Amino acid sequence: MTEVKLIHAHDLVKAYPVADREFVALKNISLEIGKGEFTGLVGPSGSGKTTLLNVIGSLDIPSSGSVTVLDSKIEALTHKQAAQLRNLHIGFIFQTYNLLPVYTVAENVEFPLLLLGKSTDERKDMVAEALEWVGLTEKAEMRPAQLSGGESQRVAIARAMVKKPALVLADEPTANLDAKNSHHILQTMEKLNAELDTTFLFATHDEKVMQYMKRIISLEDGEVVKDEIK
Amino acid sequence: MIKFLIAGVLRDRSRSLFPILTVFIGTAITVLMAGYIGGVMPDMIRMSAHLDAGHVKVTSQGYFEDRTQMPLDMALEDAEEIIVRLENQFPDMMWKARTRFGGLLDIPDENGETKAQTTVSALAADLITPGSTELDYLKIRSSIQNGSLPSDAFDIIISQSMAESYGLAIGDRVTLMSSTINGSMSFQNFRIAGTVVFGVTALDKGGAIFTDIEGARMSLDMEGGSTEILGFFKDDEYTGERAQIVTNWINSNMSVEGDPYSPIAFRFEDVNEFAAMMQWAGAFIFIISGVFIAIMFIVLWNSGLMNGLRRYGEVGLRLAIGEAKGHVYRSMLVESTLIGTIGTIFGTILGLFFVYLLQEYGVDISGMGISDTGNGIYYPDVIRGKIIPACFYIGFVPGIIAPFLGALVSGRGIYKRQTASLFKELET
Repeated sequence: MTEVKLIHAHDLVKAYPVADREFVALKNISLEIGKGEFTGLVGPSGSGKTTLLNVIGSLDIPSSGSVTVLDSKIEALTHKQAAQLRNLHIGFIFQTYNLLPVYTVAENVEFPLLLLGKSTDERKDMVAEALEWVGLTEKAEMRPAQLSGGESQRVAIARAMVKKPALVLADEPTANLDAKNSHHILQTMEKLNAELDTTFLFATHDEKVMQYMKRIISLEDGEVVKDEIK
Repeated sequence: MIKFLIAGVLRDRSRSLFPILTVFIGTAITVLMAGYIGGVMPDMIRMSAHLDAGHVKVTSQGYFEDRTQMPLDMALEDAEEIIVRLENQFPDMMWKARTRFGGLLDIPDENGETKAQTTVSALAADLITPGSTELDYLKIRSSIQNGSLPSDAFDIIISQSMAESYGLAIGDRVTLMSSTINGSMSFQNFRIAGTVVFGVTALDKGGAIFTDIEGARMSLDMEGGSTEILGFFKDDEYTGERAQIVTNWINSNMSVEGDPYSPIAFRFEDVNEFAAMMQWAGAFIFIISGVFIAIMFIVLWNSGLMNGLRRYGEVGLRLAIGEAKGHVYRSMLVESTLIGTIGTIFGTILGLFFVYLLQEYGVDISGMGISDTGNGIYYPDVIRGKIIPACFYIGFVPGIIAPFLGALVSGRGIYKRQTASLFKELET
């Protein structure tokens, strides 16, 4: 495990009211994830993987306990500060790509840079670089509808990586892809992890994804049941 | 970012086409209405002033009180003296004596026996003095169908429809039976000099005849008098403020309180129902704008709500990757302003085109009876719009405000969106 801790969770509890009762999605989770890790949160559906990603990604706050991401205490952030943390430091990759259909591949990748206020020249260079990482330079001017599933997910990776975030959160990134495309995507992310030292945190129950993980944290009923480093 | 939004709006037809069309249509109608009012109102004011009210009307106090009965005995006996005084006092105006009176027109057959009789409403004005504007103000010169302009004090002009109804020809002589200023009977022969078609149903269909003021004075025993004096600004541009100065002076310096024979002056808009009509016309364009703002707002609000559902994923993604809710909301407002601007520009162009057509070709409303108001308000039978400065900018009021309000209301949902469930929402 590397020295610098990017994520630090201590006694993290996340509970939701369900009807008259309370459903506890995460139970006293404590873990640390360091810079440059390539880690998977694995477990069956309902085990709390996505909820944990939500909290780490500052999309949600803990019910109790503490989560620190890049020195920011998630539970203490305002909505605006949380948005800023995500904008500056966190990239997201979703199962369903979520590309904006009216924009080209290049424009989709460019979008996070617009929010960061980068200049036109900077954006152009950074988009070109990100598309090169994922091997889609030739398709920069295409629309998402013209791409295959694998290519769409590579655009989503480029969009997540273009601002060179410290942390990328990926929720079931290969769920909609066939085996060949899944491996291609994972190899791309593995390469970016190695080249840019970006921390990747996956939520998955896909065996193919797990093969690539250097650390696997297993969750069951909201609790960490195993934490193994390969 | 703006460039990015413009690209999105233009490429996503379902996001832009319907709202732009809504704004386009609403704006075009607003501009058309502005051009319609801009054309019709000045025409109506000019025509009604020339034919009936003047920019300033002076009568005796008693005549004004009973004006519907046209009481000749309450005429201004010293009208010519008053005119001289007013011309000296207000050199930017011209003053014209007119007399309105009623009578019975006796139409003889070839043997000189009465063939027919009809009631007529006569208007006497200066029709034979060289250079008199009355032939133009009363539209006689431009409306002559047959015959010629009056050349003698006892020449009359009648409507073409009256001539046809009674088989009257140019040069025929008719007798007008009326009463003098003193109440005695008056019989005067007149020669039909010409017939007119004004294009104003109220004049063309009614029993109106026009005669020279001097002929009328002799016939009615009212030397130097008239029932009314009309003042016209020489530039023919009426404003209530200018007229108010004139009426204030006349009423302060010439009117004697309690003397029914002393003059009293009124502005154009204070005669008949012009004031209410002018206020209504002034407010009309704002009412139209308001109506279209309301309609477009409701349509675009709903469109915004539907768009919000359709773009649920996009907004979720933007929130997830770190765009603040306020920024997303503001970008929606910018988008709506863009849509409003595009729709307004094209709507204004279309509206101007329609106003141009209305200006050049007009719409004949003579068959609708609208011009026959019967209260001194005259519309031309062919209404024409006019491209006025307001046509170029009035559309921007509803065109920008409505989409903005629509987005303002429909976009509030962004603030209700919980980021906590974004991962799940974005994966369905």
